[in-house]
Amino acid sequence: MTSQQQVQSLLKLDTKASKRSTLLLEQPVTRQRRDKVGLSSFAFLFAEMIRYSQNRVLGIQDLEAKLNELGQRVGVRVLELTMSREKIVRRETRVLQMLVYINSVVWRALFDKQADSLERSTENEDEYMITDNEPAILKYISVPREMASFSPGAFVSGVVEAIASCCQCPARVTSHVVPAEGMPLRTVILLKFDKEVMEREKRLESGK
Amino acid sequence: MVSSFAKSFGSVLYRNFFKKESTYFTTVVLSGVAFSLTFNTMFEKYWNKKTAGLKWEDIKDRRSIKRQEEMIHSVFIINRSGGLIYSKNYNTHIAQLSSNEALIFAGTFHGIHALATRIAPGGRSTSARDMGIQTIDTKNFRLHCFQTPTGIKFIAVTDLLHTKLTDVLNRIYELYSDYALKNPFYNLEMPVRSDMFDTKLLQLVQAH
Repeated sequence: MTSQQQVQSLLKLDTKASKRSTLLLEQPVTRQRRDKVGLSSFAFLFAEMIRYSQNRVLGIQDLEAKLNELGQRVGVRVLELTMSREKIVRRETRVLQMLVYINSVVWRALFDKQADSLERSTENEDEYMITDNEPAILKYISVPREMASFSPGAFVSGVVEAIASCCQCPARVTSHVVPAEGMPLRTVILLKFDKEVMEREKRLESGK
Repeated sequence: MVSSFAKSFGSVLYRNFFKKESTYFTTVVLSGVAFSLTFNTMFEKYWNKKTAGLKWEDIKDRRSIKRQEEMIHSVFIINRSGGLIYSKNYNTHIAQLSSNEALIFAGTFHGIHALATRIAPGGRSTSARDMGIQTIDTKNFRLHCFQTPTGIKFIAVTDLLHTKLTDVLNRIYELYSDYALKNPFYNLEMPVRSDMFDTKLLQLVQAH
């Protein structure tokens, strides 16, 4: 058997294997049926991410920044993936449309549900809030008392921040745990848009 | 005089109540209802006075106090080297172990448990959960122990009414693996300090 034949037979085997395979990573990206990842396996991975980052930072703010950075890498990919899956050709560039997109499409892709509310801050015009009453990624995490100001939701805020900046609406995104009755993990993701974004919004608004 | 009065009274009675069929009937019904009402209230009063302090409403609370005694008094978790990593008392009515005593208890129990696995005569059991001490009976309480394959021991002290606690201890094991092991701030073999674990365990204990 020549080497070329060998290679061909190997390739044949390979394609056969991938046809039969039901592995998550070997399925076509555009597949509409959403495959789910076990929450436990994600919880272990996320816990390890936090532990890894914790050993490489000096303080809580640093740690949040690091998680935010990790989230941003996810965010860029999630935007691409959801857009190709939903067959959207045009990227949202207006603040409100983008927020609605995050609130519904991105949240459904990531957490299999919509975010619980999307509000505009009453105090500042440039601040918007996305609220999740039961964030799945925080389900098993209890922050110790000496780190009470730390919010593990910084990862999600990183995802949102990356999407916002990809949509030409750069914003500073932070996450805060705001417990409510019966919802101890309720997390608010606060987006503070840059000045030029708000100016552009106003301009577009008046142009209409 | 008397007879004339009786006569006139009788005639008044006759003229007003007995002469007409409908009035007669109404009178009979009304007086019957009035009599039964007064009789009932009078008898009720008498009965309440006679049986004061014996009825269900009065002893219900006392029964519920007794019900509280049928409970899990405390929960301990011992790591595989015999260190106490979690101890919680749920009954304030009984004598409490000080933290030092609890530590000594954990170490001692670990030792006895290890001995018990060695002195088992006859057939060897291969499963870790079937070996060693499973319950300790005393006159006032019963101690249940459940050992995981990794050597972590879950111990619950209950009243004598709980004969088998395997399912509850299994649930505690589940909670431990969820809320302690998946928490990024938990270090293996170290004391469990997790608010979520505390609340979930409290809910579980209160349900039993």
